Amino acid sequence: MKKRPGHRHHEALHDAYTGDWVLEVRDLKVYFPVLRGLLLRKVADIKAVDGVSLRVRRGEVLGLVGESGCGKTTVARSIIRVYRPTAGRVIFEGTDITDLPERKLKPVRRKMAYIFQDPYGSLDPRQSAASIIGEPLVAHKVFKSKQERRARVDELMGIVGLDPCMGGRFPHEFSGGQRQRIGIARALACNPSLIICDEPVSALDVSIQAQVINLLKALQKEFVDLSYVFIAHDLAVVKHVSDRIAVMYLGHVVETATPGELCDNPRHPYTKALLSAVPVPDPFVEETRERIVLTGEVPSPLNPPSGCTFHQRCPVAVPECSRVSPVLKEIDPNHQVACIMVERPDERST
Amino acid sequence: MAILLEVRNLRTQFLTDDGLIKAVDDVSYHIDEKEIIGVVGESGCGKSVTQLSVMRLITPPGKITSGQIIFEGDDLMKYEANGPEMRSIRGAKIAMIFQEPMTSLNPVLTIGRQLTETLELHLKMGKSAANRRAAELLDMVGIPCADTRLGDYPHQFSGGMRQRAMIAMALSCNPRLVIADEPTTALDVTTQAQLLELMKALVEEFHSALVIVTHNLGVVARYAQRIYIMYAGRIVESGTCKDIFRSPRHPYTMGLLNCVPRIDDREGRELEAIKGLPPNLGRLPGQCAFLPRCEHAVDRCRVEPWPELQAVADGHHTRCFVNPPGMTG
Amino acid sequence: MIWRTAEKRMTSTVEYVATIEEVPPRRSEWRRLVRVFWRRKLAVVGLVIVLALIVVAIFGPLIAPYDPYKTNIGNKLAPPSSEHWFGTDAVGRDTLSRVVYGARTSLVVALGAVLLGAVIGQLLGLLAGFFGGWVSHVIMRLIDALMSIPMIVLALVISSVLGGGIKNVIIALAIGGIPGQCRMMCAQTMSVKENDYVLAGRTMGVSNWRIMLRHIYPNAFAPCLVIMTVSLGATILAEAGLSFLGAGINAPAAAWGSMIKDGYKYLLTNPVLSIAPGVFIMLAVFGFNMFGDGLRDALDPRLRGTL
Repeated sequence: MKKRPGHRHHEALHDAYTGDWVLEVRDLKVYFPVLRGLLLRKVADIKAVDGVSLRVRRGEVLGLVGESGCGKTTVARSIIRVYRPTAGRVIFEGTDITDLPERKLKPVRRKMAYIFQDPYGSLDPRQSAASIIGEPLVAHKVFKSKQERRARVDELMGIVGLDPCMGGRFPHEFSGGQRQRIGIARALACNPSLIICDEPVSALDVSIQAQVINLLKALQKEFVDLSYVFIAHDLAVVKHVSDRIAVMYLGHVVETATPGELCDNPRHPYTKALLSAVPVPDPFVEETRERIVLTGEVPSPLNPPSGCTFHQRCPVAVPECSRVSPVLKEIDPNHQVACIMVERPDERST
Repeated sequence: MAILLEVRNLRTQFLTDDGLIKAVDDVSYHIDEKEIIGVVGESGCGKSVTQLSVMRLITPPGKITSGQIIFEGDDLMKYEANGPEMRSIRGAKIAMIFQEPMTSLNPVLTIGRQLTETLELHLKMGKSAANRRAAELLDMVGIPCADTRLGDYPHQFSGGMRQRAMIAMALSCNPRLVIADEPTTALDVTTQAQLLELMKALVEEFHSALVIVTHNLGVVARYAQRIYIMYAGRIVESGTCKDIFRSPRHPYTMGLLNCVPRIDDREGRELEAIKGLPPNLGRLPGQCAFLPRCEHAVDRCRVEPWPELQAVADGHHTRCFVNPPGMTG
Repeated sequence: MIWRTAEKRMTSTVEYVATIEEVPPRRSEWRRLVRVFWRRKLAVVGLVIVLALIVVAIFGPLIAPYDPYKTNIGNKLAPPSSEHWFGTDAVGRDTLSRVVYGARTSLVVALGAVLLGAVIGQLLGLLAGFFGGWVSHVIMRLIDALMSIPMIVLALVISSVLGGGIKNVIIALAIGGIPGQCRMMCAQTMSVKENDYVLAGRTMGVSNWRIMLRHIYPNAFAPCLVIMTVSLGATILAEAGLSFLGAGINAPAAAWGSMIKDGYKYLLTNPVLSIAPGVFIMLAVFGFNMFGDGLRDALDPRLRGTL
């Protein structure tokens, strides 16, 4: 069995890491044009993602956290090339897939899978569970015979904890959590190396969320080379499943760190606010927690603020923040922050 | 402190094609003046239907089949659901904030008009007085340039602002009781924090009581003084916030606490998922509805009907034979 | 229940979290549809009428008491009697028999025209809705052009260019049915396309054709089916109109429209000659419309789960 390089207990130096990267996203920009008038002239750009760089090691779970409109879903959909990036590069298993035409994307689509948020909308209501799970096998002609395919579907249903007898049933006959399991089985069908989980549990009930989270974690433990990009707005969930977390705000990554580091030692003011906003189900802990309540609302990506996009709401902003766009700087081997107010570790007073 | 609202043995049922759905089954609870309580449960546990029943907003095929809703000493069940007495209570003395602000605001009326409407109706204010008050209220809930935003339509507001406007509307008549049904579920975490802080500050200022209905244990841990946990249409555990979180006694409450990831988790904590699915309310067994998912069940649970709420400590009740010792930490 | 995987990499045993016992009993979509439909009494009446018409059309030769083409000058324009329930026409043919055979003509024309129009219209609508952009522009402008010509005028032109006869009437009426089907399918496709399962198909590398035919079309079809049912009635009416104007089914074939036209000269003396086919047209249109309404209610996704 391969050693899992991305595992928490093996925190290699970020740049000293020599294993392979499943995914590299370099300076990704995704702008959506705003079209007006009869001739559909472009009048502006919605800068949904404005310069995001991410790297995912083989076998690692990268958490992507942020509030609605921060661009996390756009990043995910650009990675799987549903959206075409405006600029930047997406490199999957060593291949630059940014500009590949659809027909050349087919082998990529086999190795990359997507799990959706909505367990109701993401399954075709007129397809049986077995047929849904077998769809990628059909699309990529993995098996020659129907029997082989059927056997694989049964096996997949078993892996995600569904009784294969239920293969003939239709989505509306399953509960939300079970539907999400069908979605997971479908994602696993072709043995992908990367699964993008886009808010996989946020539509589920609390007691069902844990079942799905545990399943996703167990799968990742079983299939050693499987990596996730795990997207959620719930920092507690992301912390629980991730090996590394990237926090996004208005199209930018503002901080990346290991979960422990991020929660114990957040450096970006937005991360601090986000952390303090997540309530802890424990009144004794709650009594002692510091609460940072942000003022105002997330600005529109149509017209983002100059400089640091967070400066208008930032409790520690200085005038310079409205002029300088901060870049991600490494303050620790496992910790990068994009804020001009965070000093380098050697200047930091303890 | 004086009891503001007391609900006794409330039952609300829906007659559907799948049979009789006992959405709320023998629920009793109370809230004191100026108190904040939390009603916690998953979807379909009856927490929202309970609150709608208190507001007398249950429409066919639903029906309140029995129970008393005693508000300020008056049993609301003796009034017509849409009679003048209920209408003078709804919005004026008991106000409700819903999960989805866009559907609870009228899209073709300005925010200002919707605010002044209640003021004119319940407080008999004149036009200009109502307008002034509306601007004050919007300002109070933290909407900048309140005067000019009165003329805006709901779609011109963001989700968070709409919910602020809803809070302003709910508080406009200085209600004795505010019921917030999943008030922040549709919103982002930082917006949720803003709004909950705001609501807490405002009910204190207005001397109102607040019921927070939510599935989020963290929210009630932060704000509620007492908590009711609901499962399958019944209250399974009730007590002070600290009792419930420090020494939960019902296996469902324990399960809920063990299955949510926490931001202050130590690394490597395993979530202990509750196995199985919530029950179908149309086909509840006579026994404890949590039995199929329970890890502490004993033989007695399988043969005897679901027990009544029993006191396990002062002000701490649970509906369980086993009363497994609470977990700590 | 314990399950062991055959795959080597998966070494642990997994306990099913969802076994057959834990899922509610099978809820058949079909049974729900029938149940909702059954509650709409008018729709059931419509269905009965439609079924009766179909039976009459299929078993016409067995039901009709006389040969509908056999003339009998000696017994022309006979009033209704126990031998000739609806009397006889100007050349002594039995009106009842001609009405029964007319049902066959009407249904064949209506079904043929609606199906042909639906196939072409839905295909165009699917393409326009799925690809959008210039494909949709070209298709929809074509449809707009088609729509700007009144259907009856269009049909008159076509049948006068191609000549009368069942085949040409079907073509003429089918063209009239294309725009409605195309627009409905286009709108449906655009809304179904937004579902995550379509996106899921794309992320899995499923081909556009398969997405369109396997995932979008079946989910977009229901409203088109409702329109098809209702337009069966409208097409019967249109065919009758064409035949009445003399541009439809040629004599001596029995068609309700031409029977009205033939009987119209004797409206004051022998009104039954026009009234009998007229009543059947009315019944057929009413039947299809009511059936279509019931079908709409049964297929309406907003009612799904509540009933």
